[in-house]
Amino acid sequence: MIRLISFLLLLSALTNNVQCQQSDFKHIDFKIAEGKALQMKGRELYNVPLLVHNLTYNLKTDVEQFKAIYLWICQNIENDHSLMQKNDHMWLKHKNDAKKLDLWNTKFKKEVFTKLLKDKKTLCSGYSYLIKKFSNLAGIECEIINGYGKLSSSLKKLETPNHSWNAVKLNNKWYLCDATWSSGYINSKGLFIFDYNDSFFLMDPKEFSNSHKPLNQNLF
Amino acid sequence: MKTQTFTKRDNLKALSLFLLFLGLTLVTNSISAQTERIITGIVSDETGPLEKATVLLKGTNLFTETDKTGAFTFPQKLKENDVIIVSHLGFEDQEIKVGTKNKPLNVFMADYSIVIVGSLLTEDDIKSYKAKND
Repeated sequence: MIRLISFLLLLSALTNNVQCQQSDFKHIDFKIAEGKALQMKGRELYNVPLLVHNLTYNLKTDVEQFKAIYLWICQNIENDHSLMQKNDHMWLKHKNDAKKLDLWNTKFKKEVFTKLLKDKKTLCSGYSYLIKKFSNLAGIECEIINGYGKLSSSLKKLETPNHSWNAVKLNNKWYLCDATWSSGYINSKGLFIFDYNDSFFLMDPKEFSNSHKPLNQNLF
Repeated sequence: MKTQTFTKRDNLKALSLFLLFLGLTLVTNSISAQTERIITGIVSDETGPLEKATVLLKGTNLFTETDKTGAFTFPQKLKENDVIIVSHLGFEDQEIKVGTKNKPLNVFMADYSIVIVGSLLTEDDIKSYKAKND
């Protein structure tokens, strides 16, 4: 019930506040937050509460704390191509069989978390999971949104949900962000290259919707 | 004569103040001695003891982690209403308020419920996106 209420609140917040974007925080100097993310570079994920404490300690505003969290995740967690291919394959194979998909997800989830913990490598859900976990530990409301994401070609071509991102509540407004796409890209050799892209941090929802379509369409 | 009387009174005042202070210190100490204590516990998930879960005192960088048997002993005495966060990747974090009962904590960690999906950006995606937006 609580989940339903919070989801409905999130839904109404997102539909009402279409103006929420990065420029709302133009007056904030993110230098200290950036410094904190840099200071914690290379840390492991074995003790997330401590990492979050170190990332956000002494940062006065929620948006600064969230920026430190977002930067650290984008600059320390790698995309894993093989995990994605494996998952895509199974989603296509079982797209009409919810039971099998559920069984696959339960098994695959364990593999994803183990890889994240040991190698700091993951796929979209790992990023959005970390963004939510870190934010919640810092006392910031944050939700995972699953859906369809495509940057270069039409969103309509996608058969199964392929992407995951976040909505985060800052100063009582909900904002959107995509840590997976902010972190970097896969080059022609199939290797991940860290290349932080700030445009997916609290992106204008209108622009965001060009490349992101949530499973629950009512969100926009 | 007058001066001497004052001095005596002053001495008496100082002595009573000192005694009051001493009394207060003792009382405060004994109160904190009653409520501050070593916190121990066992952390487990549905398969059994959970190793390497971290236990952090909220708002600080003081922590410990669970051993192979899922057991932990917090390195510092905690007092009533202190909050500890028990955490492990892939599980729901738990915030626990230190209560009055003096027995080991039993912490059950629930699996994090999540549907795994994933989509990556290729170099071409980035190039065409940048070309469009520059």
